[in-house]
Order: sequence, then structure tokens, then C-alpha cells
Amino acid sequence: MGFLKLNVYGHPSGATFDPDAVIQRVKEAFPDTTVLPGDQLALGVERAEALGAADHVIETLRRNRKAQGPAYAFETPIPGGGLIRGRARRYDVTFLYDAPLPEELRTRLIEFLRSLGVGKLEASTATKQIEILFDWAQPALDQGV
Amino acid sequence: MPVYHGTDENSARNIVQDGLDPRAWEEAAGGAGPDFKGFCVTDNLRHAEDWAKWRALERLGPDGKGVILEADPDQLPLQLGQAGEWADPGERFIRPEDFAAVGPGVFKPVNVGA
Repeated sequence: MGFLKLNVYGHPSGATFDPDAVIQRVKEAFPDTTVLPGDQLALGVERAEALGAADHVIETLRRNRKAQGPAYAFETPIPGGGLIRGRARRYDVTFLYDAPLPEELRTRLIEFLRSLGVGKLEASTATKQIEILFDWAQPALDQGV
Repeated sequence: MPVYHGTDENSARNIVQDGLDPRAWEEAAGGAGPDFKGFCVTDNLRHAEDWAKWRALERLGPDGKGVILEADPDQLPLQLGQAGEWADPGERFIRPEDFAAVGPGVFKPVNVGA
């Protein structure tokens, strides 16, 4: 498995993403994308409450929802088979996939993340190190995300 | 005194056998994604047990098993929460960029079937 992640958590730009706007951009760039219903962080809180998780667990999930959400999950089919699973949250946009990913598709994903204009673009490696592919220090103007 | 991490049995097996891997961490977090602060450990065994139960239920269903892992904090690149980050008392984190420093066998299971 592998991932590509555009990360603005603790980024010096202070930028955050609008997950709703990001999802719209994902659907425009990858029209076969299916967005899973609901805010995944909020749904996690609801499940924990319904299933009787410990109070401190629920409180942590609530805080994470407030601090890091909303979180939207989506799936994009890979030509030839397989799925890219994605997430759009306040501080990151992440694509997860079963390696190896066709190079052309990997390039499209990287270009899409670059188009969001700010943040550290991180890539997984086989050695468990996180490789920084790019780091945009300042948000681009009129990106709308 | 050891630190603890409670999780589902599949994640626990991977952590014991392979150490901390950013790919597995991202994958296990599902649609909600992982905590930006990093891999959380606590010195509160009861809290870790509660998290093991929840992660097992959330990820594996009602028949899933949770596992509590323990490690020597001196073997871990632990960080406190930073300004503006919430952390429970006794909670510390391993940042994703430090995962490669935590290899196989650093974490060991404390309990099975939590």
C-alpha cells in the first residue's frame, strides 16, 4: 500500500482546506469518484456513542471532530482494476492505494494535489520514511480551497 | 514505567511485527483519518484498554479483539502535545516523521482479547 498526502497541519502558512470545496475539485478532476455519505469524523462519534464506548474515548473523538473535521471519504476506480481511497479534511487531502500505482495515475494525483496550492506533499516509501515531494510555503491566491 | 497503546488485534500484530509504518497508520484510520498529532501512547493502562475495546469494535465488529501494547518510553521518540493541541493527561505522541525509528519488537502485547 502507499499514500500521497498534501498536509497543512502545523504548516507555516497557517492555511487550512475547505473539505467541501476539495471534494468538488476531486469530482471535477476524477469524474468516476464516489463520495461516501457524511462526515466520517462525526459518524465515528455517533457510532462510539451508540455502541457504548468509554466516556474519554467519546470525548477524544468529539475533540478530533471539532479540531480536524469535517472529514469526507471518497473512492476513485483505477483503470484496469482497484480503487484509490481518498480523504479530504481540514488539514490534509490524502490518496491511499495498493502499490504499485500506474505512473500516469500517480502523476495525475500529484498534479491534482499541487493544484491545491499550499502545503507539504508527502509520499510513503518502502522504508517507512515519509518523502517530502514539495512544500509550498504560501497559499496560492484564488484557489478557493 | 511503560507506556501503552490500545488498538485492534490486526493493527497490534502489524505494530509488533513491523514497528510503526505510516502507510499502515493511514490505512487503519479509515475514512476519518488518523490523529494529526501522531501515534498516541498513554501511561494510563485503563485508558489504553478502553481504546483497544473501541478500536476492535469499530474496525472488526462485535467479535473483534482488542490488544493493549506496551513499550519502554526510553525507546520511543515521544513528544508532548504542542501549544493549541489537546492531549489527555499522561498522553504523548510519536510524530509520523519519527515512525521509522520504532522498529519491530519495540511494542509488545500486554493483553489479548480486551
